Amino acid sequence: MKKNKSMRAAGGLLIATMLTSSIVSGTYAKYVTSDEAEDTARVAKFGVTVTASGSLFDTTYKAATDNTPGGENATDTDGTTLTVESFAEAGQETDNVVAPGTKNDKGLTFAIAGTPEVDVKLDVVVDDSLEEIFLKAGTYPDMTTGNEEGDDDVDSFTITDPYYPVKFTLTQTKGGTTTTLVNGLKLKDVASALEALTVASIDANTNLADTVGTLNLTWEWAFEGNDQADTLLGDLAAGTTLVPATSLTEGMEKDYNLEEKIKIAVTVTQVD
Amino acid sequence: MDVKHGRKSKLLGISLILLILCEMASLAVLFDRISLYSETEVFNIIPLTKSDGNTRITVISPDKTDFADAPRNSEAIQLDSPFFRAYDKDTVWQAETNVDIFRISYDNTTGEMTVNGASENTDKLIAPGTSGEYTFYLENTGGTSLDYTMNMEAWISGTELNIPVKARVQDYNNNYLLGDNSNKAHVLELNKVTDSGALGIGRFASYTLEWEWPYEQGNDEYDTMLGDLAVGNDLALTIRINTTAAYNDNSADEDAGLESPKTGDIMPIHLIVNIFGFMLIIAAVCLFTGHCRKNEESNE
Repeated sequence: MKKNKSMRAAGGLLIATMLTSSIVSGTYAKYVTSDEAEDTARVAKFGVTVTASGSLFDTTYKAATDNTPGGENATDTDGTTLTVESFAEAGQETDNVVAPGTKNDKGLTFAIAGTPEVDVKLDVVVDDSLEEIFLKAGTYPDMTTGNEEGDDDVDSFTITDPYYPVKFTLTQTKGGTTTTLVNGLKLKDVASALEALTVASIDANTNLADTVGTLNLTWEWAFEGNDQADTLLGDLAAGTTLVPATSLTEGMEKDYNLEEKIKIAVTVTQVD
Repeated sequence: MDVKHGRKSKLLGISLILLILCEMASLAVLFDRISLYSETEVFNIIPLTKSDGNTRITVISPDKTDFADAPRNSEAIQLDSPFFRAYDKDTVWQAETNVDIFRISYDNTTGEMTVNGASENTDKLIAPGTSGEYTFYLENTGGTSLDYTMNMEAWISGTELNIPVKARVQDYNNNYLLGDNSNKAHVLELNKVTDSGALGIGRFASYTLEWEWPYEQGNDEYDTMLGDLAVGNDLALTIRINTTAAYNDNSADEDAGLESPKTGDIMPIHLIVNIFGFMLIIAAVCLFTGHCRKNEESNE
């Protein structure tokens, strides 16, 4: 009898053990588990601005503002308002002009700003189409003295270096400090100085206003410079017959040129 | 005869005690697993609930009795799984784990850092030319085969505009779930990525997600516009990976998945020690029984 009780107890415990296992394993079988992983990234800030403002040349120049640009719509109401006024044939566009005594002390400005979160490169490129007014070194008829055809003794003048009447000034302002990069030099010198500002890589999170800053280009054609050369250039522009007759050809690689032309591209590009 | 009967009763008594010990031991062995689900001072109610297309195991905090809202309630706690883990090279996933699919900064091919947030900012970034690769693993650490599902989500926030990030996903058998060997699909196509399978004991599956914002995708103006918009707005891309696992009883799945490297970090040492202990006890009982029988035979 005692044996039976013990056997029953043992059997009961065995069943309990098995039940425990089956209950627990059953509990496991019910479980479903899930995990989630997530990541978020925002678009890196660029926000670089390159702002070009102002202009270099104009169609008119005002006496009241020391022969600085007067604007396309300026009119010479009393004959003294404008000192320089471009003339255009009917139906043609009025060209910008320059002349001795004119200047632009506001000029053309490039402002570069922004703090991008990517590395950037700064490219300052001056187009190959650059032109500027010049007179090659040499001897030319003096058009200031009234030479006449057939005169035995005509007046002439000689310049030993190429004459560039329009002088440019380029400044850079960054971090509150202004530095003069080009002071009263020809346009080609400006182009070289601008292209030297190219930077291959500027680190992310650099404030470009403090690194590159603002560039300002101004110019002046001095009123008191070389009267003979200035007059010759003016007459060449007007198509006046030179006395004595002189064969001069126009072009940047020739004897003279009568146009100022510069095309500047400032580009800020993300570096890969 | 009485002596013999007394010895048999003694033997049965010892067996009974041993069975009680076995019962207690088996409970002890299993208790550490069961106790995983009752560590916190909360109701011992573990409802299985549906949320966001996934089944979650949650424990409801004491002041919450409305289980209907439980999965979406911020006080719900997701438990660790004793039989399944998802992880990457750095992190074992828990509920809503933040992983490193994206980075705070990126280097170019020459090792120069080309994308980097402000020093006071720890936001992860994406930009033209950035890319990344994220591999994660789903591992069966339990004692039986399991079924799993994996799906991905991707969404853009802060703008209605498209962010031109491309992606592709590859499984551990080199099958592409999105994209192919030479092409990536738009990142929002990740929402179509879903996969399921079985994992045998100790087996794992792995998936690799590759993403890229091409540097040259033919629309610099659009990229620039996004970068400029990002100055005043948080234009963000989020990628989420959901995994779900459940036990299965299919013995045919025992070899499913890749074999895990035996690193020892997931070995159930306590279980092995306990089993070894049982074996010792059983051996002791056998020896004792044999010894008793020997004595009986010699007495007879």
